[in-house]
Amino acid sequence: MNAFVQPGFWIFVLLMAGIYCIFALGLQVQYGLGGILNFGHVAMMALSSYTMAILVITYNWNLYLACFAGVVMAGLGGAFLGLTTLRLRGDYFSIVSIAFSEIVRYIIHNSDHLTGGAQGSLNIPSTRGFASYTDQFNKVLINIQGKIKPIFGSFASRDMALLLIVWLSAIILLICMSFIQRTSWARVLRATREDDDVPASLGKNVFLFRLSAVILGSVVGGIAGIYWALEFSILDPADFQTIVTFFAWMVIILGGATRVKGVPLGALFFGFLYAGTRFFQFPPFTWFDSVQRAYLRIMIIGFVLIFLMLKRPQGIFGKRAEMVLE
Amino acid sequence: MAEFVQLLFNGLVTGSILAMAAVGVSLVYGVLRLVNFAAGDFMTLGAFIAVFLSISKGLPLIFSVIVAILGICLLGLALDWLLWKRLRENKAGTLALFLVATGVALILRQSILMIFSSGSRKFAINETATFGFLGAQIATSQLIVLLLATSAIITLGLFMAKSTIGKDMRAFSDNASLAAVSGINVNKVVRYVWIINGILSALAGIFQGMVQGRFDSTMGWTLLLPIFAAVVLGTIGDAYGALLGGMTLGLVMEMSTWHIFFGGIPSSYKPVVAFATLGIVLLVKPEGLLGVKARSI
Amino acid sequence: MENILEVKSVSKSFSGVRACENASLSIKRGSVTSIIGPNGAGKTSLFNLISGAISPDSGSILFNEIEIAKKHPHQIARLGLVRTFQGAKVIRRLSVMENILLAAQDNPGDRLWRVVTPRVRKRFEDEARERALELLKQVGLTSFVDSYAGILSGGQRKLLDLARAMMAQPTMLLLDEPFAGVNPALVEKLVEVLQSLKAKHDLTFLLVEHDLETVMNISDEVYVMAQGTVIASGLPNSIYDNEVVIDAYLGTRRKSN
Repeated sequence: MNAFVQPGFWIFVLLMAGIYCIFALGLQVQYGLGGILNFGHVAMMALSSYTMAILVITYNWNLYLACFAGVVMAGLGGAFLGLTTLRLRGDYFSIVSIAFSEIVRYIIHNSDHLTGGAQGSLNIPSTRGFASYTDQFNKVLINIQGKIKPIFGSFASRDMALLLIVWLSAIILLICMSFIQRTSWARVLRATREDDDVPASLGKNVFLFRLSAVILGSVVGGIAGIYWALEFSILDPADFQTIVTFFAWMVIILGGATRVKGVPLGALFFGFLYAGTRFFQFPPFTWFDSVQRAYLRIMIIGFVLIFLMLKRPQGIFGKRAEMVLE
Repeated sequence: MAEFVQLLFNGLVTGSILAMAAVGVSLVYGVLRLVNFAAGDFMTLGAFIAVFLSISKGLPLIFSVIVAILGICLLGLALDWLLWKRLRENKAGTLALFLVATGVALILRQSILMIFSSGSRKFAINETATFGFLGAQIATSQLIVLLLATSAIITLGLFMAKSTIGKDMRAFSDNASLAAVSGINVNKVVRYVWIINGILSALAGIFQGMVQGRFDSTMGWTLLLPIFAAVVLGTIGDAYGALLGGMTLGLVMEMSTWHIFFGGIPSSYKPVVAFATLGIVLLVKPEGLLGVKARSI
Repeated sequence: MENILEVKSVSKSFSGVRACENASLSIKRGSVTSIIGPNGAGKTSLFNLISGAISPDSGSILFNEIEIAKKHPHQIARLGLVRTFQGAKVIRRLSVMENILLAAQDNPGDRLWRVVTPRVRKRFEDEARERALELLKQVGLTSFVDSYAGILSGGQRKLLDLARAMMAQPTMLLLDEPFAGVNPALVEKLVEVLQSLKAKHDLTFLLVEHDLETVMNISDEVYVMAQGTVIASGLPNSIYDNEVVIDAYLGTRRKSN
C-alpha cells in the first residue's frame, strides 16, 4: 500500500499513460478511420527507438536528428508493411502484421553487433566507450525540472519533466488527429470501412488511402517509441513483444474505438490498471510470490481484455449505438 | 550428402509436426472463423502435462500422453462453452474474436508458467540413440515421431474424408449458414472440431518436446509463427492446405540451414525463413496455395 | 469519335466456366443503350469487365479511344466512366450529403498533407456541397441531406446512387439494373430523372436490365446476350421479332421481374 502514496509512482503511471496514449493514437488512426486491423504496431516503436539509439551511440549523431530519423524509419516500416500486405484479405493482413512485428523483434534480438541483441542497447558498439543516448536529453530534462520546481516543489523530478513533454506532445497530436478526422481523406477511409467498391467506382484508389493511413499511424507510433527510449534509457527487444500492440488495442477499445478523444481516457485507465496491479500487496495477491505475481498481472490484463470484448465492447466511454465493431 | 539426408529428415519431422498443428488451427478457423492464437499454448500445455505425469509422477508414457490429449480436448471444449459460443451468439466480428483469442493465449501462457514454473523439461526417451542412413546419423526418436505423426495425419485424413461428421465439417467450413439450415448438427460439428484440434495440438506439442530434447514454456509460442505461416500458405480454413503448407515450410525451414545456401542460414532465423517463403507465395497467390480469390479486406 | 465505348471480342472464364465469349458492343455517344438477356447470359460479367472490376482474358475495351481493359476501377472512373451498383450500394454510416461528396473529383482534401491548408479544402468542399445540393434537388432527396444513408428505403437509395454517380461528373454512366425491385411509380420517376440528366449533361447511358418494357421505351439501341455472347442487337422494335432472341428467352416474349 505504501507505493500508492508515493508521488513518484503516480508520475510514472501518468508518464506511461502518456506514451501509451500516443502509441494507441497511431493505431486508432488505422482502425477508427480505415477499419484496418493492424496487429504489428509495436514494430514501429521498436524501429524508431532502435534506429535512434544506434544512430546516436554508434554513429554519434545529434540526438534530435536521430529522433527524427527514428520516426521516419517507423514511417518507412509502415510503408513496407502496407505495400507488401494491404492487398491481402483481412484476416491474412492481421496475421501477417503480427509476423512482421515478431520478425522485426527477432532481427533485433539476433543482431548483436548492430542492436546489442538480447542484452539490449547497452551492448550497442560505441566509439565513445559507453552506450548511452540520453546525455544530451538529460540536460534538457534537468533544465525543465529546474523551471517547474517553483510550481511543483519536491515533486518536480526528471520523470515529471518528461511527463510534461510527453503529454504536451500527446495533446498536440490529438488536436492534429481531430483536424484530420474532418478532411475528405478521412471521409473516404470511413467509406472504405464499409465497402471497397463504392469509393473505387468514384475514382478513389482505396489501396493508397489505406496505405497512407498505415503510414500515418506508424509515424505516430514511432513518436511513442522515441519517448519510450528516452524514458527508459535502455532498450531491450523483450520490451517490444506483440503483447504491447494488444495493450494499445485495449486502450483504444476502452476509450471507444472510433473516438479520437477517447484515447487519452483509455490510456489513463489502462495505465492505472497495468501499473497499479504491480503494487497490489494485499490478499489474495500475497498468496503468490513475486515471480508468480508478475504472471498474474498479465493474466489480469487477459481477463480484462476478454471481459471488455464480451460485455462492453464499446469501452468505458463509447456509446453502444456508435459502435462499429462489426 | 550426409548433411542433405540429415536436413531432409529434420524437414520431414518438423514438417509433420507443423502440419498437425496447422491442420488444427485451420480446422478451427474453417468451422468457427476463429484465429486460435492459443494454438501454441495448447501444444505447450499438452507437452507439459505429458512430461509432468511421466517424469514427476512416474506414470507410463502412453498413459501420460492419453491424459494430455484428453486434457487439451477438454480445454478446447471448455473454452468454447465459456467464450466462443457466447461470441458466436453475439455475432462478434473479427476484432472481438482476435482480442479474446489473444486474451486466452495470454492467460494460458501465464497459467502454464505459474503451474509448472519456468525452466525446461525433458521426456524420458533416449534422444541420443541414432541409426545410420545414407551416411547420416538419424535420431531414433525422430524416426518414431515421424512415423507416429504420419499415422496420425493419415488417420485424420481418412476420418475427414470418409466419416459423416467429417463431411459435415467440410460442408460447414465451406458455407456455414447453408450447412446449418440443411440439418447439420452445428453443436456436434463444433465439438468434433475442438476434439480433433485437441488431439492434434497435444500430440504436436508432445512430439515437438520429444524431438527438441529439452523444452520450456516458450516452445509453443516459438512455433506459433511457422504454424500460422503454414496455415496461411495452405489457404486458411483448408485442412489439406494446412497439411501441404506445414510439410512445405518444415522442409524449407530445415533445408535453409544447408551449407550450400551461402553457408547455411543460421538456424535461429528459421521462423524468418518460414515467413519469407510465405511472403513470396502470397505475392504470386495472395489467397494461399489452394485458395479461391476473395475480395481483399 | 462517334463511338464513346467500343467492346471488342472480350472473353472471360472463371474456373473453366465461360462467362463471356467474344462479346462485342459499340456504344454511340449520347445514346441510351441497354443490355438484356436471360439470367446467366453474361450481362453482369460484361458490365464488370467494362467497369474494371475484372479484367478480360482476351479482347479489348476502348473508352474514348483509350484502352481500359486492364485498368483498375478507380482509374476507369476517373476517365469519366462511372457505374452504379445492383441494389444501390450506399455507405450506410455516412450521411446522404457525405455519400455524394465522396464522388467529388480531384478533391484536394483527399491528400493527407492538405490537412495544413484548411482554406483550400473548405473552398472546394463549399463548391462541391452546392453542386451536391443541386443534384439532390434533381432527384428529390433534399430533405434527407444530413440523414444517415442507412435509413433510406431501397428506392431512395437508387436515387442517391444516381445522384452520387452524377456528382462524379461522368461522360458515361453504367447503370446496373436500375429498375430492379422498384415500384412502377418510382420507375417513372427514375426514367424522368435519367432523361432530364441526359439532356442537361450530355451523357451516354449503358444499362443492364430485366424490366423489358421500360428498356424498350427508353433505349435507342438494345443488345441481347445469351450464354456469354451477343446474339442480337439493334433498335428496340427489331428485337421483339427477332427469332434468335425469342429462342433465347425460351419462348416468352415478356419477362416480368
